Amino acid sequence: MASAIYFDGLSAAEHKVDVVVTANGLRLDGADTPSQLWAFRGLEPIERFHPHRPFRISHKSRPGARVILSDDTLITDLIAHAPHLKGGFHMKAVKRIAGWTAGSLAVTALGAYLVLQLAPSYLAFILPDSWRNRVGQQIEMSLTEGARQCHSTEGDTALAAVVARLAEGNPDMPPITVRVYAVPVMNAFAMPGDRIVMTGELIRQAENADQVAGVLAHELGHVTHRHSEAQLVRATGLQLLLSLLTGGGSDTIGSIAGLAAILNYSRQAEAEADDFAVEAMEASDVDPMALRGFFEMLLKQEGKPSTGAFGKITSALNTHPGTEDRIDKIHPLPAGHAIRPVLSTAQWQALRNICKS
Amino acid sequence: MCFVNFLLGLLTLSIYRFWARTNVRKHIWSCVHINGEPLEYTGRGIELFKGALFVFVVFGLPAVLLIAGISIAYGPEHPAIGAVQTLFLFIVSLLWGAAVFRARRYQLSRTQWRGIRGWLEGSATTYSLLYFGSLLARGMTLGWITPVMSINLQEKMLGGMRFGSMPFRFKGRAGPLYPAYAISWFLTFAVFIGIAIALGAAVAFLAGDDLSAALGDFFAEKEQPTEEQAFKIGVFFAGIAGFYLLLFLFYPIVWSIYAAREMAVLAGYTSIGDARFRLRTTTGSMIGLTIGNILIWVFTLGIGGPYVNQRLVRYLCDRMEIDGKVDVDNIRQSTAPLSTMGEGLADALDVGGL
Repeated sequence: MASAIYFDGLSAAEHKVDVVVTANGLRLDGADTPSQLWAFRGLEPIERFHPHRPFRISHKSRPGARVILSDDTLITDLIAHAPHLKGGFHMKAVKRIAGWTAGSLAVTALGAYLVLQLAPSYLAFILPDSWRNRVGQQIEMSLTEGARQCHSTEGDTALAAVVARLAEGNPDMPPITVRVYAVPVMNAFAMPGDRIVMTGELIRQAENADQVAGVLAHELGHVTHRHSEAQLVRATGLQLLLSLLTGGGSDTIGSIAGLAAILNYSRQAEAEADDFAVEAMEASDVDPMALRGFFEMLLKQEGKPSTGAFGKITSALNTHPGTEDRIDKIHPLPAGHAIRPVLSTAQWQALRNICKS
Repeated sequence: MCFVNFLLGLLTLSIYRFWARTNVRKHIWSCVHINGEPLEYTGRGIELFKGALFVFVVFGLPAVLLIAGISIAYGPEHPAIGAVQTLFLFIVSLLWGAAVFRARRYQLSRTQWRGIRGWLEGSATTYSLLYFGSLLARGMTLGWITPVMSINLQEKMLGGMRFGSMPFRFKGRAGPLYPAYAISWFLTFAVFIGIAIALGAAVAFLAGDDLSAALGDFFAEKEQPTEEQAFKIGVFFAGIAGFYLLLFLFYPIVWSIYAAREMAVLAGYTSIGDARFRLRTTTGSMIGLTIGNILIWVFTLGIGGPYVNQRLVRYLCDRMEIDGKVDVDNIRQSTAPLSTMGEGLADALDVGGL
């Protein structure tokens, strides 16, 4: 038996009570307080327990009510019956925190997978064509800002012939537009809205028309898989996730310049585009080894100083990692296919000169 | 505790912040003793989390989805995005006061002393409109109406506070606030000009007279600047950065003068029962506190934020006195219902506070 201070949670008045630890719990008795039993289960510490200091406790069944114990013997006795009151660093708390941390990480990982992996590949195919066109147009304008678009009657015809040749073996091919810009950096891009942009430098450095067809087939792979649209959705999803975590808004694709960054595809996307390119070339009797030759040329140039950047276009050397692995996956045409050149010598010359007007 | 909170925040991608804030409050509250009895914070992290989630779903998510939708459909530089952002900025400034009010109400309802909890009576909408109006009025009067608006706002805030069944009262005029306000205002002006002249002279001395030509070439993106030009341009931008840094350091110090006075006056206007509050904040001690807090903030890279809050609370409690008697025994428990969600809006808008 010891005395303690009691607040009943109904008024701010202080009551003196006698407390005693019984087999079932803590019993309270006082002159102006109805006798009551606080079962051990449900007892909660208000502050962490410190020896020789008043110990404040409450009970789950009595919201607002508080008992302040100051008798050391009684507190020791009580904690012996209800060890959870002591709190502090125990395994249960550690396990709980670890559990919550692991749980929230798992939920975040799942959310990130859904938003960044699963959703983009589905949503990319249900975006309205008008949206894809509009954004594609903006990206193309931003990327090729200031560069001259290359035209020549024969060159355009030759380019159309390359596209038509790839379409031969791929009747389901989306209606793509291919444009060549006079940019002194070797690269090619697939953009939303079935657009492909090539640099004049790429055509200039290509050894033959089949290599250009190979690059085109690769970009066609990006277009068919809608990789750029998926990246667009992914960037938006990332923005969404970040705003969920921080509670406020944030910008990832706040500008068209930021939007152009979505044209950097993952290795997986590049591999998909490569696979598509090889199949498409096989189906159209174009030599897949030409694409391999093109990649080998890229690889050889990798040691050289990069051709630098033109505006926002950087060299393909900087943006396409892991070229060796990709080369190994490209094999010659299987037996039964006869290689037919994509363009005649005259057509190839016309294409090579497309930027020279 | 600051460090553990920071670490868990990193591990859980900042979601732990609700539990961290709860722990910090529990600690700070428990350090405040009134007549020998400590304050007790009974809020829970999950309540803050639920509140923030709710606000995100009804407010943040539609905004983000709308902007994301427009930027996918029309491109990220379409004027509609600017319009939507402006609209949301407007809504945010309209809701700001409500966020402050509701956060205070939540915190009071989770604050107990002698088993009795607090409450904030009144309408968050009214407070919000008053707050928005005061923002506009302050802008239009170059800040000079601030003391008046401050009194009006505190009349709603401090005057609406309840401890159990007992109301706080707030009554007073803005007049006594003006001398301190004028000092801070003119000092800000003087500091602004002083820093500008000092740094301007330093830049002019180091970079010399060809600076404008070098900058003209730099902004026109002409050719590669020479080493000398590059140095001058560097000095120029260092000067601008230094200007903002010094302003950032001096601004809180200069306004400590007004803050100290305002707190003392507002406390003096506040009473509960027959007791009146008195807060002995002085300019010198407030400036000392502010400088210390800035240093802690800078040297812990923000991790020490909770410690800064605790220093402020300790400063206020050390200097707070209550004169007169409060009939504590007759205070009944608050009958206001307890919401299960806390402060979502305040978290979303990041209104600050503890």
